[in-house]
Amino acid sequence: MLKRLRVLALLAATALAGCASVDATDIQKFGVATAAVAQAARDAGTLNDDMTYTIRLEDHAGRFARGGLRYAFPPPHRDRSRISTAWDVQVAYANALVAYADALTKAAAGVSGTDIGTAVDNLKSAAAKAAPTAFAHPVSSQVANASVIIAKQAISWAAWQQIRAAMQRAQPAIVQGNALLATDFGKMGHAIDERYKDWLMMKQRVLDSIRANGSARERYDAYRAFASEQQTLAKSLALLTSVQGGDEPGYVAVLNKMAAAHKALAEGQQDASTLAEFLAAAQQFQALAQIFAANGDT
Amino acid sequence: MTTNQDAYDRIRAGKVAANLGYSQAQTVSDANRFLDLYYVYDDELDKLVADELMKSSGQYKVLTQSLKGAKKDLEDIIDNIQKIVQTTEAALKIATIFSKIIAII
Repeated sequence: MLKRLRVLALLAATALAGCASVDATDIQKFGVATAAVAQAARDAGTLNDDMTYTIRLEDHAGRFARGGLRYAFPPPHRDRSRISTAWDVQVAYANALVAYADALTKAAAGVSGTDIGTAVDNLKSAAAKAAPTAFAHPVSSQVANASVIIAKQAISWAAWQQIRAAMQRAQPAIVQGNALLATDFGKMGHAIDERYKDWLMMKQRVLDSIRANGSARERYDAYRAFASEQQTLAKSLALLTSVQGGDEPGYVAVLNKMAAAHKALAEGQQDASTLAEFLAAAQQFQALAQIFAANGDT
Repeated sequence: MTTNQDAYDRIRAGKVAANLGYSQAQTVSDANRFLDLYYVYDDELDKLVADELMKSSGQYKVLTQSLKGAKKDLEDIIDNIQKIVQTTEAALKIATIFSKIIAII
């Protein structure tokens, strides 16, 4: 009878271990990449304001260089545009996404961490203290150890089920939110791209002026300096604008892959490629965040 | 291509015209006027995009609340695990006291 119990206990433990197939590390990776996506949404509003301010600065520098025109010094204040104010709703969604991903990471770490093991060990110790003679028998001890394994797995399994249920409830919001965000990244990208065109126009104006009036050395230096500025700016805008071309903007693919990775994790699918594709794609957003961090904007 | 592509095209054309006018202006007042014109169009762009973004604000608010609800569910799971740990710690303490009393008796 006891032998049969031990076999059953081991079988149950093995079965439950199989159910807890979601890897906490995967969820943590998902959380980090999702935070990068959300940060990009927050940065987009700042990027638009940066462009607006850069244009004003360029405009007033151009006015000063031309002479005779009104110009401001110190340069005009950096104002918050209506676009950035409107973008607050998208930022609120992005913040909620980060908070959700953070809670997901903590829940996964909590289930896979030592807390549940400690709790079950406490129970075993408490039982052993309350009935020491019952635990003195070697067979009873083995059954107790097997029970501990089952209890740990059962609590972990139940917690994983709850995590998956929470993820499945969040899935529609993530799918719909990401679709909206993709559309709105497009609108924001369009606005930023328009301002990039303005910036190019103003730079061209100054270059034309230098070409007409400067020495060969001044013309050469100005061209090289402007080209360098343009390349840096185009690089930082590339994710949100069509500056560097491409069939589909990078953010659309990232957002789609994020929703797919979340779905796979919520359903406990053993689908490493879906998560890997999202993690790889999210690096574009992480690169954008790094540009902002390097510029001191975030 | 956006739903307001015509408006975007008109603003772009206005900005290009303002730039051309500024570059070819013979007097300071003309140059200033074209510079001001650029900002009129830029303000229009700001309003146009802001209005477009605001269209989905109601949907975002619902989705944001939904994500906050999911976050709360996850926090409850963490809390439950902590409660289990605390309960078993209390059980262990009681059992320890109980075993000491039994030993004394």
